[in-house]
Amino acid sequence: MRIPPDARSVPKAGRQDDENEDAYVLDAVRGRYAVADGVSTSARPEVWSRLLVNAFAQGSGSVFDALTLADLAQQWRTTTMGPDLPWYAQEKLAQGSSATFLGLQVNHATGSFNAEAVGDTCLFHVRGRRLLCSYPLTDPREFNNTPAQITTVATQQPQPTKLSGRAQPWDQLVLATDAMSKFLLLVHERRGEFPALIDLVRGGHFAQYVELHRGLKRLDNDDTTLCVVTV
Amino acid sequence: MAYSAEINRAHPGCLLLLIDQSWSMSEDWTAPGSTKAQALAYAVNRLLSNAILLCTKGSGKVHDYFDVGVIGYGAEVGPVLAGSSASRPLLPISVVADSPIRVESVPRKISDGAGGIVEILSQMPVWLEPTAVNGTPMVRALNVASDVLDRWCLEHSASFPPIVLNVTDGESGDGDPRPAAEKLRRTGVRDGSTLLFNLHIAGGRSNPIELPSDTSGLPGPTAVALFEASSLLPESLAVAARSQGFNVGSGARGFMYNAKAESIIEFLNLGTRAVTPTGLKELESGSGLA
Repeated sequence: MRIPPDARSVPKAGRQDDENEDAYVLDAVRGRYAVADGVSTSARPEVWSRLLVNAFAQGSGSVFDALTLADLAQQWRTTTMGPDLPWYAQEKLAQGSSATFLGLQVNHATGSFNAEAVGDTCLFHVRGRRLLCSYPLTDPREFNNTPAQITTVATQQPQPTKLSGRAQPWDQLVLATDAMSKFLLLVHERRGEFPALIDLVRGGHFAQYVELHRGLKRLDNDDTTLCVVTV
Repeated sequence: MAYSAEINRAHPGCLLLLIDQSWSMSEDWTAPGSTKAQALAYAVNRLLSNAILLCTKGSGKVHDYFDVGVIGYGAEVGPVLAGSSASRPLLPISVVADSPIRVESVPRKISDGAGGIVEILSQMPVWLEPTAVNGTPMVRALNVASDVLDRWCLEHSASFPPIVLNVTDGESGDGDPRPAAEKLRRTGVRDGSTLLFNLHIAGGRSNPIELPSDTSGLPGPTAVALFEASSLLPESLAVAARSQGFNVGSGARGFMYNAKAESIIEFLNLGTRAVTPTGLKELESGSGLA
């Protein structure tokens, strides 16, 4: 019996759940998993991040081909724009939206997996508590204010980086947005191992854990999402 | 450390503009028929529009990261920002967003996300109309600003200190501005004193003097008085000014003399950077913007 995938996501401190601009989707039947992190300073980032992860989960290939992204950008405009909006909403929406993204396809029968990413939303391949692979970033000092982003307005989107690998039964494939990714890499740097992530997403104390480490200045105050897929 | 308080919804920043509306502002400036007052009104309207877009995510809501006011001085001295009044000289930026005098529509071309271009109507709100009447009662304006900020600082002791940007094309018409400026700079909050920056806009061909560290090279007593009325640039702002291309030495003050038209925009941008010295962390929080 396989442990079902699970995830937790919390907004910035002091914000409501509906202000969380991260989005994730877990489809264990099709083995498709995705996380996106809407850029806070862009327009309606929660809509864009949700469209990206849903498109990955419902599709069979990449979301990064030009036609798919153009169609998603049009969906974003249809969802967000309207004639009755105040001037500032119309001007902000004209600037477009942005998000970082990570999509993961897992063949649970063979353990093979493929991932594609833009920006600093990360994938970790973990065995027990041992980190085997970190992608696309590997060092907590690599996180900065200018990650690559998929946008609704760019004529040339950044090319995703791609990863292929093979996991063993009970290995974990961990998807996380930037604040949690950076935190996990810092923990690994200090202790040489990861925390017990499956307990974290299944135990019901994720929000308290995040609050504790934000308070200790170990985890940045940002929307924070963690997904654990057991192979 | 002073001038390091985070700006967030619980602790908004304050940006107060003092705008010379004296008769001399009706002089042509960048081109025939384009006056200093028009250039200044355009720059202020653009500053307010950009600040509002920083504080919204594209829905019908603007988050209150700033309180904003504009005090004009010419025929009268008082609040001139649409929606403000003598009893309410500073407005939360969400109120400013909803109370322009009018919103003009201007065609603009943007990317459609698929390699094409689409034309949309860009919205250009107007809060401030060009005005140029009578003298230059700068001292009265500085005193009004002191009273306004005294009240604001009492209610916002944990906020980033207020920023005051004074834009004028001449010398004070009601006395030496330095004592009133000093009184204004003595207002403040726990994180530091109010910052007063002065911009003198040029009428002649003299070379501009930007963010000087001393009075050498200043052409006369008007320039010296405005220099001495200006605050020292805090380090975070000196860094921001350098990143905008200014040559900022040790002890530089927030003062420009004989500035060119484009400097109004740069100066007001510097004011916005001053009010957001570390960015709007609550908006941009985390290691990345995402």
